[in-house]
Amino acid sequence: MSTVLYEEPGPRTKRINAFIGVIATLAGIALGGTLVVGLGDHLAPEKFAPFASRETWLYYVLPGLRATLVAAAVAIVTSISLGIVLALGRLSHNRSLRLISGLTVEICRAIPVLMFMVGTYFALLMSGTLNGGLISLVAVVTGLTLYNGAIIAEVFVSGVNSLPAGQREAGLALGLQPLAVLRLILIPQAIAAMLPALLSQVVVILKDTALGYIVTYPELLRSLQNLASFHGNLVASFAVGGALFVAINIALTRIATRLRHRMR
Amino acid sequence: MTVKLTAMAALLAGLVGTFVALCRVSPVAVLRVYGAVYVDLVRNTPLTLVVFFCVFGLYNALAWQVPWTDNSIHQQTFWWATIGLGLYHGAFVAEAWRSGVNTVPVGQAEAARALGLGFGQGLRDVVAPQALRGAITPLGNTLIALTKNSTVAATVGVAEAAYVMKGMIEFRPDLLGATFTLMAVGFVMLTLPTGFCVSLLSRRLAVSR
Repeated sequence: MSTVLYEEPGPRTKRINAFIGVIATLAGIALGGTLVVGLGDHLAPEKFAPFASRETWLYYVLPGLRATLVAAAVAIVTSISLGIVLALGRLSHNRSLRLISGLTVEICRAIPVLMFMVGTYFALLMSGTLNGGLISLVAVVTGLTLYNGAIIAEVFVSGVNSLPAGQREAGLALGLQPLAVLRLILIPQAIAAMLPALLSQVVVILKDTALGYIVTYPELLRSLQNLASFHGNLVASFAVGGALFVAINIALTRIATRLRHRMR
Repeated sequence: MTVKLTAMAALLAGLVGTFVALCRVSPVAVLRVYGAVYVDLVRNTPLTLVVFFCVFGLYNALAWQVPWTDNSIHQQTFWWATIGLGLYHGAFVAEAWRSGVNTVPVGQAEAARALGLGFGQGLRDVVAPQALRGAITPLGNTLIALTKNSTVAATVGVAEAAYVMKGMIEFRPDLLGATFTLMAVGFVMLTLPTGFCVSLLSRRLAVSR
């Protein structure tokens, strides 16, 4: 898309572009340099030293990563289940069912994940039915599920609606029940169309587990902060945490892109 | 507070996103790489971490001050959180622009070149106005996401809605349901009209091809 906007550059334009390129490179180096020099004390090698020891990984990084992945995995399963239920509701013939699930989707999409988390957290805390550690996990999963379930429902519905109407009509003409048409004919085809969108929603879920920080869920960032308060290397710890997140998410995004290309 | 945070961050995100999108389509290779790296990096980092980086990294560790406001911790934290939100959503705005540019048929840009328009002219007079129409829906979705994500600023102690809600619940736990409903209704009132306006606008401006 970028190449159609300009001609093959002539000698003068080439010089100008090279000039801008050099300036931009210098600006980039300057900005990076200011950050690194400014944060010098915080990014000094000894600040990363704790990450060389086995204990750090064993007691802080890996449990944090595990907590993040557990919350994400549970939330992914529950979100997809909720998404399917809501999507079935929106696609059903029953008018009130359609209305109710449509309303649920709209409301869940309009309220921030964090507020669901905080609300669930305090509600559970006060009801006192669960014990400590589990409350924050349930709060995180509930928050993520309500929001992402609604989004996934939308993805499902648009996936099914993107199919040619003839598919549904042919299924009905064969004498299949509406639910059987959905299950046997529409959904298998729709899944192919919506897999990339679904996978990018998985990235969103994984990123949003970091919100569990505020309801004291011991996910990666919080356990890294605990580590940092012990070693006094907050910036370095968060840099490592950020690198972990970026690595996992870029891998997921790549898979999504590859799937999209293969589906075509 | 939520509204102010959202408005300021949206302004910043718009500027950052447009700039990054410009970089991504520019004829200068270095700028294209910068744009791509920025979008890839920021989109895959949790927002919490971006806001942390701004508040703890730039403000606490580097002791950078936001110049246009006073030095109180309150004000500084607020503005750094705003900058974090703006930087994060800037990446999404850039992607929205890119999807908008992708909806413009190649022939339009080719026609602009055939008329002898340069990169800047072609982009400004031919491609961007059409790209904006295609980008309205994703831009609106980013704005709605930004409204909701402003709650994340609570993690660094900015007194926006989720933070206030947490305080209210801790103060009057017996009113949990009422507090939550009130806040939730507040957000629905903020985001639903936005979504409505966006779909109205995108329908109004839709290019029939």
